[in-house]
Amino acid sequence: MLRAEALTKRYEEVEALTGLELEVRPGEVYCLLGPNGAGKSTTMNLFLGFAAPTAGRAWVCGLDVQHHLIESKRHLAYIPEQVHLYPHLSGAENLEYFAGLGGSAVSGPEIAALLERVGLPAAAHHRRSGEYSKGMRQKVGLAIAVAKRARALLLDEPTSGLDPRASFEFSRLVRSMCDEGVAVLMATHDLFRARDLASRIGIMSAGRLVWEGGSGDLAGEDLERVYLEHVRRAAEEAAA
Amino acid sequence: MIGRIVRHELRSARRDGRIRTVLLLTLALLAVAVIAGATNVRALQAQREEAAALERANWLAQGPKNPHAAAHFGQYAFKPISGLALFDRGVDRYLGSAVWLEAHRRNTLVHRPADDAPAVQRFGDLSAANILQWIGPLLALLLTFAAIAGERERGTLRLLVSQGVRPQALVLGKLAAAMLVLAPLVLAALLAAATLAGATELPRVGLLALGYGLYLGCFAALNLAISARARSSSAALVGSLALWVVAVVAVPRIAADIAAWAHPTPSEHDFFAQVARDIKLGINGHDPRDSRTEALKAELLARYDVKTVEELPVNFAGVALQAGEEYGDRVYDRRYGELHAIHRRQAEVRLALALLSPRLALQPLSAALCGTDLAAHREFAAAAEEHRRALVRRLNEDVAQHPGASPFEYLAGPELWRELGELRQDDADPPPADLRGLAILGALFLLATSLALASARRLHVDP
Repeated sequence: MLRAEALTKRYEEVEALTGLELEVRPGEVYCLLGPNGAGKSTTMNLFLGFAAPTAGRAWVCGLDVQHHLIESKRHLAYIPEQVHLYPHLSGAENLEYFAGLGGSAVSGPEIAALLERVGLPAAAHHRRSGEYSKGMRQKVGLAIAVAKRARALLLDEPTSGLDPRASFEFSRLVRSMCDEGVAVLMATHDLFRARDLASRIGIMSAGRLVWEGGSGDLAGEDLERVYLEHVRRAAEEAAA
Repeated sequence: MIGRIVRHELRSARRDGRIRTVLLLTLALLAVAVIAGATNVRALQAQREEAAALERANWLAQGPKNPHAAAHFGQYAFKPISGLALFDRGVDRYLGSAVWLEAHRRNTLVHRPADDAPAVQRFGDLSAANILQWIGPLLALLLTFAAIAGERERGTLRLLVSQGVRPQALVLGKLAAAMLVLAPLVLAALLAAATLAGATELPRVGLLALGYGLYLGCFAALNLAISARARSSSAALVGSLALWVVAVVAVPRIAADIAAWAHPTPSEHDFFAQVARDIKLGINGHDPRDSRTEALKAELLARYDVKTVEELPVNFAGVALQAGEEYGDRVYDRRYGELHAIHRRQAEVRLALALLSPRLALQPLSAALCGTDLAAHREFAAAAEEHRRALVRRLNEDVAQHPGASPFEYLAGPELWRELGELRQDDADPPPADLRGLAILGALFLLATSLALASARRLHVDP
């Protein structure tokens, strides 16, 4: 569903991503872990076509992103770290607009059902989204993704800044989408969320995928140890 | 998809209190301009009617006199005022409203409204056309400067593009929405003007609407191009304001100077001095007036086979006057022809520079469609001159038909004065408008839209 093939991105003198090989299959949640600057967001941007790779290819549902910039996005839904909505529109209006642009025209009852499904309180549906908390905006973002009925979901630090309850609800919804066969690629710093949600985990450091394994391959404390070890080693190599 | 973007943009504009306020203020300003324009045009039309009636009464009451003296007594012809002048005064304020028709001399129009205007009006006429030409682009700026840069700053651009929205569709949707927000202003001003003017020329009003729509569309598209490339909405605002200053204020002013420098107009003094020289010395400089009169005399004596002018069956003075008049007409035709050619070349220069400023294309188009441009002025001047020539010819013929001992002893009376009517142009069709400005605006709009689309193609989503 999502595939990176020797994906490389260089910004002038900085190699942000080096030869990434990765595949996310339908119904799978692949969590990319790594510190800031590890190349997680660059990977997301390359799958979204927001940046062009220096080398290699990103594939979405068999479409080379660079050659099918618009078509590939029809199969993708994306939730950034901060979902930015139009503050003068209500959550329902934002959902209607973005879902419509994504090719899924939704009307009154469907909008209410979608917002209820992501856990946005009914009283907030028609309130200006400028008054929403971050968690409420993330929920609208998720509703937009659900409405799109995309086959792949890209999540870029989606639970960052959410309280534990909101994070839990978010994970539950992502899992339900997975159960429907959606392939999920999630970039996160949150080891706990990764272990809870992921089918597979990749650790990135300095633009490289330095470790990959199934979520069952490691116990909780081992994941933390492996993560810190790889990050430290990559930092030492970079310094050398 | 574009329709969805347009609906969203219209809804956003409707909910934006700043946009609502500015649009309402502009609408109020347009209403004041149209009402003031209508009042002014009606007052001018009434003054013109009154002056024309007085002038006719003076002509009829001049009593017995020699027809040539009546030709010098002369009469005023008053330029008709187009109904749509209440929308765009064009050059009317600067080119005079009446012309003195007399023997031997083709006068320029006098009584320019601008001469009587208070000094503050030198800064510009409060006409609906001026408001749309100056403030309209600022409204387009308000609607579009942050259209893309603002989405990028807000972070909504990432979500939009990730939904599979083509950046070009986004730009086209925003452009269409901006034009739809501005369209009611243009249409309201034009329909109010057409209604108050009692204008039945809907095609002209339609062309005006199209012209102003394309004009504002050019600015909206260029602002979108700037917005798509700018790193922030404040940078886009600075860019769009610079565009307004250049295209609306600076280039039209500089274009007028370039046109005058490339094709200088003679001063009024030099022009009439040249005309007087031509009449006195001949158009080629070697055919003085006395020789022409002597040649005419010789030709008449030979034709009638007589020895002296007293023996002629016609009044030689009358024939000589008409011959002198016709020679003067040739001089005036030549010199005015040269002057008009200079004006045309100046207009061509300004129109060529319209590629740098859509206002240079709109200004002459708007005035032409409202019947207040130089062509309408020239058409009246030509009709007045034709009337003057017919009037003087008839008076000279009357002198010529009455030979006597003294050339000017013959006196004509009220019958002849009544026979010679006044110039009425009220029912005349306005001259066909030069629509090249519309074509240029159309081309500029397509160019600006292409530029906006090209900028969208290279859209970067992150601030």
